[in-house]
Amino acid sequence: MLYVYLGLVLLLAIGIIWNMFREKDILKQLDAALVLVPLILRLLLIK
Amino acid sequence: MQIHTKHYRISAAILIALAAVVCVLLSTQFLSMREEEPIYPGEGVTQTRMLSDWYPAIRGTAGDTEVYVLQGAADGDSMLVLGGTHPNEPSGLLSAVMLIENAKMETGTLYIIPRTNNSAFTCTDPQEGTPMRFHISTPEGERWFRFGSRATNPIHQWPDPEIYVHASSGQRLSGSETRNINRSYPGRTDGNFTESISYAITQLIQQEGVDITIDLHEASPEYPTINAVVAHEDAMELASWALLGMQMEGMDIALEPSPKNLHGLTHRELGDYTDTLAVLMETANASQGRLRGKTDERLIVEGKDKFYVRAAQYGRLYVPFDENGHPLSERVARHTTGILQFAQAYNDLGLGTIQITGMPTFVEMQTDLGPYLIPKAKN
Ligand SMILES: [Zn+2]
Repeated sequence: MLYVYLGLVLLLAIGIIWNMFREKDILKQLDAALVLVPLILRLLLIK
Repeated sequence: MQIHTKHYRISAAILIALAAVVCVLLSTQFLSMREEEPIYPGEGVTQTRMLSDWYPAIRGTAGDTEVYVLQGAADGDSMLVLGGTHPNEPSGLLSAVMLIENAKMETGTLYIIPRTNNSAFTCTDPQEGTPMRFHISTPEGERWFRFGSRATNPIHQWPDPEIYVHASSGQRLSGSETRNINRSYPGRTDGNFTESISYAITQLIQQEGVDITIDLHEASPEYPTINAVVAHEDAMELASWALLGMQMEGMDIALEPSPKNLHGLTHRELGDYTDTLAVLMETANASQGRLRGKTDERLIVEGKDKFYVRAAQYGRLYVPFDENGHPLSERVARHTTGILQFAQAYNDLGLGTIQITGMPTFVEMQTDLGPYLIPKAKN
């Protein structure tokens, strides 16, 4: 079950990074970068 | 507001790199919670075992934890002390450490688990702003201990369900309680991570025939069950007798029966599912309370808080609370004295023999824990 959820987190993180390279508004890019932090920490099972 | 840039790909790369740096900085902090505080077994400890000895399926998991065994020269009965059921209630861990480092058994066997929910020591509760560590000064330097979370670290058990259904009773609680080990007893083999740990503890009690189990807790000063013993109905006589002993030591303490319809707790399920006499003790911890002010190490160790003083003046608390607060030394003195009084009551009532020696007196501990927590060289 844990790995299913981690898979979803990974998918979301990839989607966010993908979109960051398409987004032209730097503030929205910043928002996305902030959202990435908890996703990465959970993906690595750190927090 | 929008700020468009022509170099949006470069800014994206820079921001991702910054996010990575933030992740590294945060990781070092979060991972520091996985380092265990040193415990220096005293000469009374005859064996250090792992909880997985009683339920091998948890071996190597974050829930496996040390069980310190103090076996007396003479055969007798046995007692299990659970510290760190809730690692945000530090007097449980500290009382267990005091016993491991000082107690000796004349008769009978004492089992001590200082970190009952070992996983919950590896994180703090979100949005509480609690420090990760606190320090106790001893004549030979400072010791550090972790201030953890009430529940299992979500990285060891995730995600939470919407509703937590307690397996053997069907009781329904909020989803986050699924990681609260003191709602998971007696545990089960095909359940979640937390249930496997409580199952291991139930196995220890059954396989060793543990006669008394004492679960150490703390509560917010505004919580009604505080400075109290909660006892399973089978342990009521023992608890009443022990309570008299505690009161003779000068402790103001109350006795409450374990509610029959509140499931998953040690004093209910261990009493129902095993032959142990199951009790739980609570002290007053301002650092987990809702009314507390600045939350730092001092609040944990000294237990002083001006907002609680005011709440007491308004008559809103269930314990007296003045400028002196409720320091950790007092809370540990209460727990350890309670444990000694349970052993004494057990002997006095003719139920068997459990003789614990080597512990400082209530007043000595209340004054300063430092002299009894001197770090020793690890061998
Ligand atoms: Zn508790």
